[in-house]
Amino acid sequence: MYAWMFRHLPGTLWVRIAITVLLLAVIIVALFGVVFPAIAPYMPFNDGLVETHGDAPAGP
Amino acid sequence: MASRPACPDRARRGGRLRTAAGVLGEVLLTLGAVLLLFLVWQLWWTDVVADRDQSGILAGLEDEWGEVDAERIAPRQDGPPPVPDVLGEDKVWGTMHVPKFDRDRFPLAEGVSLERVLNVKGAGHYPETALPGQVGNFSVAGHRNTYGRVFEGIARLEPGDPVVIETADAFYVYEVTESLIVDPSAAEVIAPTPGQPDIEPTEQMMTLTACHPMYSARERYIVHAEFAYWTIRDDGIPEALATDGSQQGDPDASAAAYSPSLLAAASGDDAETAGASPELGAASTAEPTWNTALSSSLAPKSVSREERI
Repeated sequence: MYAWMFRHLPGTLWVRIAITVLLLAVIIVALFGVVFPAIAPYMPFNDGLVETHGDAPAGP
Repeated sequence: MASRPACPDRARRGGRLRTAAGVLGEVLLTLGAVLLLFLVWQLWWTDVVADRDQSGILAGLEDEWGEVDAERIAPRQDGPPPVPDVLGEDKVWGTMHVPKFDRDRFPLAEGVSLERVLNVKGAGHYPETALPGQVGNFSVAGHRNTYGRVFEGIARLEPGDPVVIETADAFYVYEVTESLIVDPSAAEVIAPTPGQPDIEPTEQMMTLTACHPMYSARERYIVHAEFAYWTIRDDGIPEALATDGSQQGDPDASAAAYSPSLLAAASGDDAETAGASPELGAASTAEPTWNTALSSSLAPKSVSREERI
């Protein structure tokens, strides 16, 4: 899969390596900036609250 | 080898199977890498962002409230303590000092929303509970493992240890009475009379809640404390903060962190510190009000932390 993607990138070897690094950087920034913050509330290890009546804490 | 020309179908099927297995392997490797990245984000990056946000908030409070004279020990006050002005939902209205913790102080905001308070600002006050110095149970929640981990050292607290709340006008000093491990549903620990929801409060209590065990939220770690005394902020720092050895270095460190020349120097370093992903640093600035302080607060913060350790 990745070999196939790498073969289909345009340019010389070094250009393709540069594009790969850039793509990885974009993916990591997207994960850190958007995806992880969005799924963190569903993770079971961040909640340090005791349950209150009116105001239920977010997350499990 | 000899079978290949004889059975081209089988060879093709074998090739396709191998491709499918290869893709599956790559997908699994990718999932593993993403999980690892999630751990890096949760256990490290959330701390980086929260530390930066919180030192920005602290610098903002310092500007607003003025500096405390850390050389002077304020006399204990006998009268009824002033009621702090809670500025509104999610707003920071105080700081907490716990000499037993690694961090000398952190912001205290109104409310216990994970997204709006605990993940971004520091400790949060359970809104229905009493305020510092009031009769009842002043209750505060904080993270223990992630997002700046303000209550990381909660299990080190022992009876008699001071927990101090600072507001614009006063210091409120509490002393730890007991530590408990309870179920998440044990709302009675933050009842006005801790543990006894039906009894009218007579004492000025305080409660800290955090997750337990570490890296889990199966149970809650609870610390109760009792009001000891209060001091006027203009008079200096309370005795509870002065007797601790690690606190001695603090006034210098914080003064250095807030001096304009250092801030200017730090903003140059900032790009370097953010290093790998500068876009993220810019994207995660939570509150516009603190932005000026935020951009330059990372470097001085790390210096003062090293000094303390």
